[in-house]
Amino acid sequence: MQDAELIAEFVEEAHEHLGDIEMQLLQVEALGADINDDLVNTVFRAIHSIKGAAGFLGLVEINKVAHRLENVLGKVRDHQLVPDAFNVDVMLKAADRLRKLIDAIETSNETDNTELCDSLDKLLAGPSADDAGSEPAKSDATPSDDSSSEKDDSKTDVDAPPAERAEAALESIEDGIQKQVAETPQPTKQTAESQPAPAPKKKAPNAPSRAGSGDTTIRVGVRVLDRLMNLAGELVLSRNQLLRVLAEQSTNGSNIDAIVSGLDQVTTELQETIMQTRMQPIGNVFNKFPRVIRDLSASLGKNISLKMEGTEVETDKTIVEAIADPLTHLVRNSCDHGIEMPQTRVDAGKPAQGTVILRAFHKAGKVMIEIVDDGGGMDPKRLREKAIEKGVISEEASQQMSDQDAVNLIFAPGFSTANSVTDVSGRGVGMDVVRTNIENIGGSVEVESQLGSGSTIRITLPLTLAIVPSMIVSVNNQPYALPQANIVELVQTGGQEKRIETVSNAEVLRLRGSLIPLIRLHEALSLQVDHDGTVSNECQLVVVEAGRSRFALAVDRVLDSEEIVVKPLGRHLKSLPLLAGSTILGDGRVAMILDATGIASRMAITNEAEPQSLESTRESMTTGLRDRQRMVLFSLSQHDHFAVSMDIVSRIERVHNDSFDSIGDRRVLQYRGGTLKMLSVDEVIPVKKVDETDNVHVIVFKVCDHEVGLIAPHLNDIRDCDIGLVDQVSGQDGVACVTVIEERTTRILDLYGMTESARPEWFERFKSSGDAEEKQRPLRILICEDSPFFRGFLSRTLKNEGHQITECEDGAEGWDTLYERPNDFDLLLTDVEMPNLDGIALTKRVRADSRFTELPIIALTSLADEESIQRGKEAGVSDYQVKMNKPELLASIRQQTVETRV
Amino acid sequence: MTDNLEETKTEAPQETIQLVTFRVNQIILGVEISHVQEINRHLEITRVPQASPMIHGVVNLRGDVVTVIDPHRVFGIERDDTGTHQRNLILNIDGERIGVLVDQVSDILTVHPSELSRRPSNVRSIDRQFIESVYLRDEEIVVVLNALHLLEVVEHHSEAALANS
Repeated sequence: MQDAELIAEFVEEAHEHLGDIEMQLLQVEALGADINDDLVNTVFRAIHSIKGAAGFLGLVEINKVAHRLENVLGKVRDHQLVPDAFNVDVMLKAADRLRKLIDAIETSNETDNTELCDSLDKLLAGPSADDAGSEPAKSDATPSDDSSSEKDDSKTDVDAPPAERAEAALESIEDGIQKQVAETPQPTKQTAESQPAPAPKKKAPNAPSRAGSGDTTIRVGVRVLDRLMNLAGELVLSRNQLLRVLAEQSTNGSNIDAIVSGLDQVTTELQETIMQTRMQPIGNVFNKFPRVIRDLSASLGKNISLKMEGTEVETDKTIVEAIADPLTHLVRNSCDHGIEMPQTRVDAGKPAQGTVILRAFHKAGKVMIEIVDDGGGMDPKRLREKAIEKGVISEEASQQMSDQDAVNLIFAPGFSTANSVTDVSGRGVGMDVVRTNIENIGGSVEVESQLGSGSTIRITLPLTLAIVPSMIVSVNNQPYALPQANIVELVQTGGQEKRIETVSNAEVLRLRGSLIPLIRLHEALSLQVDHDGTVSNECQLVVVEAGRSRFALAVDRVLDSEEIVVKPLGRHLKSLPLLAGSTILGDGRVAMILDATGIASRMAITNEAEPQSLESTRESMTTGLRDRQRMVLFSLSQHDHFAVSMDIVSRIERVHNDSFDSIGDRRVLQYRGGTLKMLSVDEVIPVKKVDETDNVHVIVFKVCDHEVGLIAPHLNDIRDCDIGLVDQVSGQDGVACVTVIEERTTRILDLYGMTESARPEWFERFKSSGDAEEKQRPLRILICEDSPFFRGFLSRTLKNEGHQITECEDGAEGWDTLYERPNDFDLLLTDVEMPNLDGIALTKRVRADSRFTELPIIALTSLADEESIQRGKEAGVSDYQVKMNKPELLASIRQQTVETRV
Repeated sequence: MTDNLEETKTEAPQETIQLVTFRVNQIILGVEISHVQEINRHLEITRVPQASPMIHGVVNLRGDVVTVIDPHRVFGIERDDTGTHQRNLILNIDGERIGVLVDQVSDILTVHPSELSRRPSNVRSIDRQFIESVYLRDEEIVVVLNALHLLEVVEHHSEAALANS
């Protein structure tokens, strides 16, 4: 009975007709009584063709609705019906219904549309019902030739459509319309600025907007385009291969060079052109917003006008499609939460009508979309409070946060600013989804807001998805592609991973004051070590950003950057979370594309870490002058908090409480084939309570050749702490000082002093080596140490031993002091890492001066720094000591000064 | 190298079935020629981390990335390490392409449907679920595979592996 192909064609065509109708009806409404004949004709014609085809195909319900709508439109065109809000509303509903019927074409005949048809008929039978049958148009002022011919046509059509006649008439109209379109190259831009009823005269001639597709386009199947894309991509790869081979052979035959550069150029251009076939104007999405805003204004009781700019900006089809939903959500949000009620606006001295601007433009190879409203704006203070209340951020983090960051909290998961749930913008679950959706297509979104004067939401989108600039990295000799959009920076470790530390069994990279979780790619991908024994040697770190999480990815090598063409994986491999697809490299090999988001979630890198790192970077930038120390923070219970300088910690292990053995009253840990002696803080320092936990952390450090583990029931953090304001010097054994970290009174442990109290027997040999009179001899010691904390600690310790101390803040000051008072010092005690002049440079300078060749120099360092010990020895350091290791330091001082005197 | 199978296909009389036969370790398997797109030596296979063990990897087939399965792992057969005759048998089932890494491609058999026995219970070399039918050729059993089912099993296995990970 019916040809399926015909129906499919009808559906496609009807969609095209209906596509623009909404926009056009809104324009008709905006013009009000001042009817633009061409515009109405366009709509009329579209509905007319739908009606005709539906009748031909036996789609009775579609035919019925289209017929009624056509009649109403005819009346509007004949200037007998004023397209006011009410009338247009009914027409819009009819257009909506038609779209719905066409979407479910098979069942369309079973639907009941009587009610709608009745309301359409009511419009038709309205105040001027009497004239409907006669010839009213002739009396009207302006009808042109073709519009009147069409009018006749429509009248004859009403009952029995003589298809051919209609067709012929339509063609002539089409010609007219297309001419018009050609004369108005940017119709949407002008017409989109929906004008209220007054002053429409000037706009009217421009109104017949995007009528159909015009004669410069052709419909091409997406599959064909995809295949073309694929082939063009292949051509690019072949070219790359050719370029590579030629480069390797380094031929100097200029002929080949010319050919290759020609091929190169053509290929690039071909690819770019084919890419362009996928480009669509962003207007395709924007066009639905006039209706959205119109309906929203009505339902919210607000007065909102929409302005659209840059609808002609083009981007990839996939992106245009993918952005529709997030954009709708954002626009709805702007209307619902942004624009105030008219009275509120007037009270605030603003026009009663609020404005939402949708703006698209190109910037730096990206497409930007802005949604600007002149509404109430967002209150950063309220957002902070809300975020704390919802547990999105900590109170401390919220204080560190700039207003700009605070308004961007709206994109955080589980956040909503609406005081009450409305049906317009939902339950506030949307904004993080909006962000995720935008990020999924390689874009980003941010918001700027000025309290009282409005907000701007800015979306940045890539131009295309098909070609991805990527870094090729390798692990186990296998190449992988990592999209450059995810890459923040590359960090070279040169095999020495001293910037890599361990926090509660997880590796982290220390980078400019922030801690970044470290993921080893071969572990993330669970790669086996190759059977030929290739052990992955990950010596390159790539700092990767995925959504809001940031991590460092350890790979063997970073090979190259390449523009890759994404190839989908077969269905058997599609759902692998760590891979975003595959690509073919210049050498023809297939490489997997890494999905940074997948890796982050796989390795359980959450956004929790984010405020932390954000905060610490900010701190480290703004407070360069204060004393920052890396501290291990741990607690025995909720009352007792301690910190240990990270510099003297060898490593931290996590063990089960059962793993401890007891020897007498002391605990030991069987560990890596040896026995680790354990020490608990409460052995020396009085505490309120020690929590029993299943797992404890063991902070391992070295003292007097003993490796000791300090038991930490709760390991809180390892971070840079500001301890510059220490003023409380503790008299307690084993406590260096007391300070406040994260609002907790925290005791900073003097690990060596504590160990000495707990295990005095280990320190016997240091005691016996120095007899009483040696100890009494006061020395004049120059201390160079940039950290006030350590400087204070050293100074106190040595003063207690009876020495005379001069303190300097860095090597430069130390050198000046020494230079001016060359005979005033018996010993130089210097830190290695210092600003201005470091310990090594200071030592070199001192040794270069003949006056100081015999001056003992003791350098202080942290444990893990074998390399700098070597450098120091070469520069002329007499001895190395670990910071805060008091007994050994004193022993060394004695030894050094004895030597010089002999 | 691509062996052209088109010619033999067109010559075949309509009542008969043509089977491409191949060896996986010591087992002779066959698959209907209409399912075979090509046989090639694209053996430069990229491993896919965390994919099901049944999946050997992916190859570049003229610009498309095609999954290659390891029939040893699918059927639970020991691997034959000689490798010199290895071929990539590219199946095309309803437009979906998938490679099967076989140890050797034998020949193309033209058989009459009546010569095929449906799923006999005495075949134990591979799981019965993969067997469409068997064919007896000079004392040798050719197991005709149900290619569609083969893909389904690999897919289910992939999903299961993913769920477990």
